[in-house]
Amino acid sequence: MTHEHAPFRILARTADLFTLASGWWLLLIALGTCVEMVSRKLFNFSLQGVDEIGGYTLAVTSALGFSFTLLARGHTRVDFLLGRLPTGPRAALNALAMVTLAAVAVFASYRAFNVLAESIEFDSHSTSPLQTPMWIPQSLWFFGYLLFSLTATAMAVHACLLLVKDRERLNRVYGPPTLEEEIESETGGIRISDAAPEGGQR
Amino acid sequence: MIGPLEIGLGFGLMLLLMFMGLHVATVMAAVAMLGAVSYLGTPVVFAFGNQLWAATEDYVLLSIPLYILLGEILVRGGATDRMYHSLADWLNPLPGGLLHTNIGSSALFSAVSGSSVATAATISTIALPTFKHRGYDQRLVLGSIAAGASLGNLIPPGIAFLVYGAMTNTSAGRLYAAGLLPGAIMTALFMLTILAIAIARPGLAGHREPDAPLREKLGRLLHLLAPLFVFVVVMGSIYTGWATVSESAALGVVCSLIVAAAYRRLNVQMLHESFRATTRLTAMSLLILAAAFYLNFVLGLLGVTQSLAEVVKSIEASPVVLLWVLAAFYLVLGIFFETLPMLVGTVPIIFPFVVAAGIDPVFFGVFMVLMCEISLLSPPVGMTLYVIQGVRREGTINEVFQGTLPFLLSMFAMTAILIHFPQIALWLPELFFGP
Amino acid sequence: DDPTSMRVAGNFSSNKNHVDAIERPFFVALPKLLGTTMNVNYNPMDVLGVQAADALRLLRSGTFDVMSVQIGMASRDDPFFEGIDLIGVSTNMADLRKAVDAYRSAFDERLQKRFNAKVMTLWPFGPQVFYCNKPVKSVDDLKGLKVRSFTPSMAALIQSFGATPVTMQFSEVYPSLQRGVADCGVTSPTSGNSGKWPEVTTHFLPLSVSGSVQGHFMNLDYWNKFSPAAQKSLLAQFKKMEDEMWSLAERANGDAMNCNVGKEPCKDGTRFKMTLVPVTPADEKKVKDAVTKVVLPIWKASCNRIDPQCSDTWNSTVGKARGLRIE
Ligand code: NA
Ligand code: NA
Repeated sequence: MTHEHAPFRILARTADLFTLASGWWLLLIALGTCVEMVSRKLFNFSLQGVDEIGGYTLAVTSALGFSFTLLARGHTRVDFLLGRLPTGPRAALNALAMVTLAAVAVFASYRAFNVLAESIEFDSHSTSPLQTPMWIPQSLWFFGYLLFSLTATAMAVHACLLLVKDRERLNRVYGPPTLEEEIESETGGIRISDAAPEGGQR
Repeated sequence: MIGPLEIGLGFGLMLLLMFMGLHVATVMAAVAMLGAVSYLGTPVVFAFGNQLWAATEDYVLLSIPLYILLGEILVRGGATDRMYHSLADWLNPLPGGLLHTNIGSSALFSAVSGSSVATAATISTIALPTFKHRGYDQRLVLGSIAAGASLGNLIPPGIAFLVYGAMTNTSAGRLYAAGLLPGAIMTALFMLTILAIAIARPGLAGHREPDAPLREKLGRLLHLLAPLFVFVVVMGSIYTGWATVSESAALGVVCSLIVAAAYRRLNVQMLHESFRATTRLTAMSLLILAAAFYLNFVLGLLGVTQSLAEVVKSIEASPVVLLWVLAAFYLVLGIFFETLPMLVGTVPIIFPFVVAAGIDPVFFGVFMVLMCEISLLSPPVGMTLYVIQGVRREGTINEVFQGTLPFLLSMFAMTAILIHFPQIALWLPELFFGP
Repeated sequence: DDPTSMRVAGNFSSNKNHVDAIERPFFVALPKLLGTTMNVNYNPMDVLGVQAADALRLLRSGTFDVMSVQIGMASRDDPFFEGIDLIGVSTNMADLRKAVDAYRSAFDERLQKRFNAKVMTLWPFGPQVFYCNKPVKSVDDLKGLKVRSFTPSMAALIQSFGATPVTMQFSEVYPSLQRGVADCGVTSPTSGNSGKWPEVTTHFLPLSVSGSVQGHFMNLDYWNKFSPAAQKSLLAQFKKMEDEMWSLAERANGDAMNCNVGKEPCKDGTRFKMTLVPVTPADEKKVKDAVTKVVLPIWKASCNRIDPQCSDTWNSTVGKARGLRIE
């Protein structure tokens, strides 16, 4: 899509990197949780605070995923009316959607930074047995919002330029994903097993 | 405190902005900000950051990415298509033949997956090639896949239950237990619908396939074990007390790895694809959820919940009447909306007065999820419908729309059953967890 | 001019005895009692999706004018406040009252200085006691059991008894006790009774390790907007609520304790038939030893990290009142 421009390539690479890191981290948490359950049940030994780390994990991995999902146009929009409009108004609304999303993302990062800054100011530690220094999960979390706001801003600027230069392209690049793309993202990488009697190939 | 007029205007503005195609999360944040700026002042606007952290720092909600991940690994691990073909062996002899397999395999996949759209994409990818040249009515084929997909959230585990539970402080374990029986009844209703059509109009139901040899069928039965294994571990660990809801989801992920490894499909590339798909769905859901939590916060501070609860109290409607009114409301809304926007956009407003009217929060959770599933199935806006049409790549979307109609009718029947016999939702949670 | 509105975050809605019977009615009636037409917006914090641990920040910024604060949770942003009710320091309500009164002015001063908020009330949920589903006769029998704990010092205390501390959210405790994920839970007699814990536990050990102290705090800028006369009547009204909360803690928990073990009088709670395990002086002694050995040093480390005077302040207030000293 927009990846012919260097800034988008860099953003996409970064977002993808964090997506994979989040995935491995999720897998690790899943394994850790199972180890915890078994050791609690069998050896009466409890790793403290898997639940707490799990809570941070959701906050951090979701924030880190916002940018990746935005680049894949995965954030939900209602396209019922949009698809029925002529090119001009549709382009305007697509640009508006990108600009407003960027505004929300930038404001969210600003306020997320405030949360982190207060945790540093108070040297806040969680009151659980882990006593986690709050700046650790919150700086990763803030970084996710920062990446999100950078991506959203870059896309908003690009959309505004296209609004002047090339509206067809704006609708192609920043409109809600087409059906084909949607299917690709929902079934991407799914292979039909060789065991299928009808040998269904996509 | 603001009055019903302002609330109506705010809700209207929200709908307008959504129809303008702004991102759903943007719309929720913008409406909330507007309320905060006009009535509450800077500190409430600035509390946005605290509320974003509070909304997503939640161990129970961690099950969302875990369920998605386990579904992705199972699908990419080759478990789902094998399950489909094995199920087909046994459901084929019924009038309606393979159509039942669409429902049955969707129900089974729903029992390990949290998302309806993922179910639709998976089952239609597998099923549509199977139906080629078998003389089934195309509309019924498509409708049955769409109907099956709508079981995705109702049969536990389900993302919609988790989101509802987080927004209303309702126990996810109870909601799961509550969804089990209605999910099973819904499955049975879909199959009865197919049966009825196949008996009344045999021409629509295709020609019967010869049965595969019993030995082959028994051999393939093994493939039903994979999803059953994951389901039993996930749900069983919750109800035997081995695990909390999130721990069971973690356990499910590990089981799905085992299944994928058993089918020799476990590799780094496949995992990375699963991670990307998981991130897309999780981040999409959580951005909306975080914005919705902030909207909920602002609505509370504006006194919206109280003033609506007072309105409902003054009407003195009985729960049954109220539920029918809500069913009609959601039916109309569901024509245009998807599960998540509908759920998070209305629950903060509706829930307080539902509780004020004496409706059980767990029961209402099941009702809400059923409404969401109807919205997925009701044309013209329904993600699953377009996903199915997209996988199909022939004919028109209208055929998909027509195919859903008989199944929509059975969903309305389900709505009526649920409203008039709330015990079908409340019996199991009370049995498992006490009143 | 006095403020025309008051934005209140209340306690968790699941604490029905406190929220529905005392807190909400108090704030609804407050304008009338003050003789104003002030518009009060009251919501329990969980209904708003506010984290209990964020209380001090939201008070400082003025997001809320008044908040019902779970001090244990809010200590995330300043461990000093936890000092009012450290695990094991006050094992009955009378001792706790002494400790709270001794700490009150230092507490208020710190709250004003660092968080721009003023103490309006300080009160306990009630004694935090043990509900176990294994036959327990004394503290010694906790050895090897899985006990749900929710603070660092509680985990340390439980560990010093030879038990395994496990962490989980309050709502998870009932199912966990039912199925043996945990063997014991710690909460007040009333919370345990209304949460039906006696259904899934057999032995009731009324050894109180804490009072779970809560408070109502008011944003200082907001407070300063009131005229001196209005401030005086505000203080008087909040004092009445504080007294109600204390008497609820004592009366209701006594009643709930009876209900849990099937004794009379049991008026407000649900009647159950748990085995009452009498608390012996030997048990009390064990708690006191563990406090000096593990609880106080852990708290000193975290509190003095923020403020080197912290343990001295504690010694001259709570420590003096309770005959304990942090070295
Ligand atoms: Na499901
Ligand atoms: Na729809």
